[in-house]
Amino acid sequence: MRKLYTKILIILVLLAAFDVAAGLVLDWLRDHSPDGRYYKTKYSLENCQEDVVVIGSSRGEINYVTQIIEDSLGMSCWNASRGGQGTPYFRAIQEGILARYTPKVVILNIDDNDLETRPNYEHAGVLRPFYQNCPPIRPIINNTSTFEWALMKSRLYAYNSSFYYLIRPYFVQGLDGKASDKGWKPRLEKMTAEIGGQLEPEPEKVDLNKESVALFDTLVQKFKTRGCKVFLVVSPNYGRTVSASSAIEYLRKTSAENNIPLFVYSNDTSFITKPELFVDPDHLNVEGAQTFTRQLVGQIKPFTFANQHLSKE
Amino acid sequence: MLFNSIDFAIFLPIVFTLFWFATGRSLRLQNALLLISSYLFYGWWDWRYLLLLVFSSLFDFFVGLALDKQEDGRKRSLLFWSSIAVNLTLLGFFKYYNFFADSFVQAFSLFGQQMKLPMLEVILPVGISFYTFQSMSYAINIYWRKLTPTRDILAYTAFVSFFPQLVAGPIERATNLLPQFFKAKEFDYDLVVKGLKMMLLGFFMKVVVADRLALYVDSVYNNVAMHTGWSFIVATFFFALQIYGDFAGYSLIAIGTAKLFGFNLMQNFNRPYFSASFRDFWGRWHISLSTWFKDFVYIPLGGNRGSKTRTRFNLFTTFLVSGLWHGANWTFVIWGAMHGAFQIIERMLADTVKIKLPRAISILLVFALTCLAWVFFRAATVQDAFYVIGTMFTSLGESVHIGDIGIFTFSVVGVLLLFSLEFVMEYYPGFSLLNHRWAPVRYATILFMLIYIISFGVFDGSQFIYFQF
Repeated sequence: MRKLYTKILIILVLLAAFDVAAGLVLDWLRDHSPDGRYYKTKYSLENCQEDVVVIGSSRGEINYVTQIIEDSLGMSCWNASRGGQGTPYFRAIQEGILARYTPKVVILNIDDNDLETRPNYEHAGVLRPFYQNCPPIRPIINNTSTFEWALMKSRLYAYNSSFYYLIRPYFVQGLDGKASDKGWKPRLEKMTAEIGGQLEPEPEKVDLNKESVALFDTLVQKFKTRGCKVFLVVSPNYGRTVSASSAIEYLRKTSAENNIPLFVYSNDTSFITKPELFVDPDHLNVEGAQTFTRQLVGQIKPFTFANQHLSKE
Repeated sequence: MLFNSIDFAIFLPIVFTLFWFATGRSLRLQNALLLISSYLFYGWWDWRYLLLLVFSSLFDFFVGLALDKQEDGRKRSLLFWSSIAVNLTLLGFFKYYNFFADSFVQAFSLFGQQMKLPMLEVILPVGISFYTFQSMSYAINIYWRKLTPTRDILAYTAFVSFFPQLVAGPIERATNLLPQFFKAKEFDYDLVVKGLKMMLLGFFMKVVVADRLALYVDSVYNNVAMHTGWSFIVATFFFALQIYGDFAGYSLIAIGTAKLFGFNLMQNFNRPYFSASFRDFWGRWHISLSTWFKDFVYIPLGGNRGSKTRTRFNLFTTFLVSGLWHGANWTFVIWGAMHGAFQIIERMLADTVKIKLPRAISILLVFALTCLAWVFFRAATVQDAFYVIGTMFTSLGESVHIGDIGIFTFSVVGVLLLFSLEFVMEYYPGFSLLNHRWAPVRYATILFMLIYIISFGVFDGSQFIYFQF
């Protein structure tokens, strides 16, 4: 029995040593990434100081052109959105940002999924490489699993499945948007499929997920309490009108109760019937993103100028 | 409790240490510890369903005793059928009620009749198909006088609920596993090390290969209307390896875990995708289940003792039942029917056509047809399955859906690693880096596998596919 425990101990010591050594290399790769996903997340959590911050999932990342927002509002802008993410990621980014500074304007791109499905903490696991350096996000990552805090002692585990996107920017740059795009991920393709003039019917109403709603409420209230001007936006979809989903109704309620402007584009016919503006039914291409951002900032601008202190703070 | 969970990683070393240090090598204490641990393992998921397990075990234990005492043929028969009825009722109620009720309603609607039957809103108790079969086989063997019942209720309940194989097999026969609960266990270093290596390999197959492939497969099969024929071909190929990695991985972990406590479970998989015939395939795939069906369904139906037509009927019926065992959905029934048909056609061809294909071609052919059947196994509905197959043959499309390129790349790497491993084990069985005579090679291999699992494994707490059966 002693022989068995000794051998297991030897293997564990060797594994721990490798883990530490590999962690040093991986941390270096993360910190020196020229662009791409890890550069972007690190910048969002640890460096950004922009006046305007956009937070959302892939629709936030692809649909909001930071340059147009900057030119139009006269404020610096950073798009901290990330594809495949939801409320847990948004909350983590919020904690990372608010621990350092208070943005003047926050644009929250909210999808029905963000409030209707259970919060996917596992997806927010892409933040694990930042767990050690960014303590404010730890409580959110700890929700991923019961013993996540213990697993996070391993650097290899923290970088689990991240290697492809961690290494890629060292060979090919710009695939997730150039660093100069400031978080925007332009999509050049145009959608080929068309709906032939027939719009999909309004989706059936589904119940909101209480946990996701609670995360969203915290997200809004924390920004509001810190004095940020918050805007809620629902992006357009191609080929279907979504105007009365449970999520949108909840956004309307939040907007009314908290005096937060809400812009719903998911029933805007200037987008939903034009395939040339989309890359797929859920995401706008470059032309669509530019058109959408211009329209949106046109609506946001009066609110920001009405509150002069925003641009002076 | 899932094998691929932190809970299990804490549970197992505690039970292992208690088993070898705190029981004083007392057989009764060891069995008691295994029983308590097994109930804890099962109850961790939902303690209420533990009552079903206890009920099923106790019922067959007492039926077994009564069967042994009873000499009257009619009364023995009554006892035997009561065991079958109770186990099948449990299985039928929890697993098949909604399926049959829904099928009944739909059948009536074909004739313009509207019926409404209440549907059950209960969760399928994990592993019910496995432990009821194991428990049933005990009663059947006693009825056939192939087994003398035990009077040791502790050993028997520990046998039925033995946690390494409780929820997804291998489905053990009482004749193999039960006697092991009557043999005092001595710590066997070599057996324990062998078990740990099997567990390592099992985890590798589960979290590195199967769960990674599942991400791609789900993205295609959960949205069939959006994909092309090429994507379905890739997704189905991946699913074939996913389900193998998942279930064979589970079996290896189960067998390995049992070895830590000095138990030997039966082999459940033997590189099935290197089979050159369907008969060979079913001798290598889920061996514990296919032998169970052979012994308790195929042979009682008459096996191959009757005419060729009767043999074919028996074979087809056995596979149909096997399909239904896998799940309460017509997709599984069709999957079973396809395998039954493949075996019948294969035997007919062997009788009539004397051409022998090269082994490599036969392996590819069996694999391709197995993949075709997997479409039904994976698709959510029969309509989806036909859509997938139709698209594969009529609309290949110009490109393959890649999805997340990181996931796809690691999926391909996982497939290559699994294939290499299987190829070496099949054709160079003497070559094993894990068992290399030079210690540094063994250590390096173990370290590599651990590092690879931690770095590339999918840790989203996904269940093993066979838990749902």
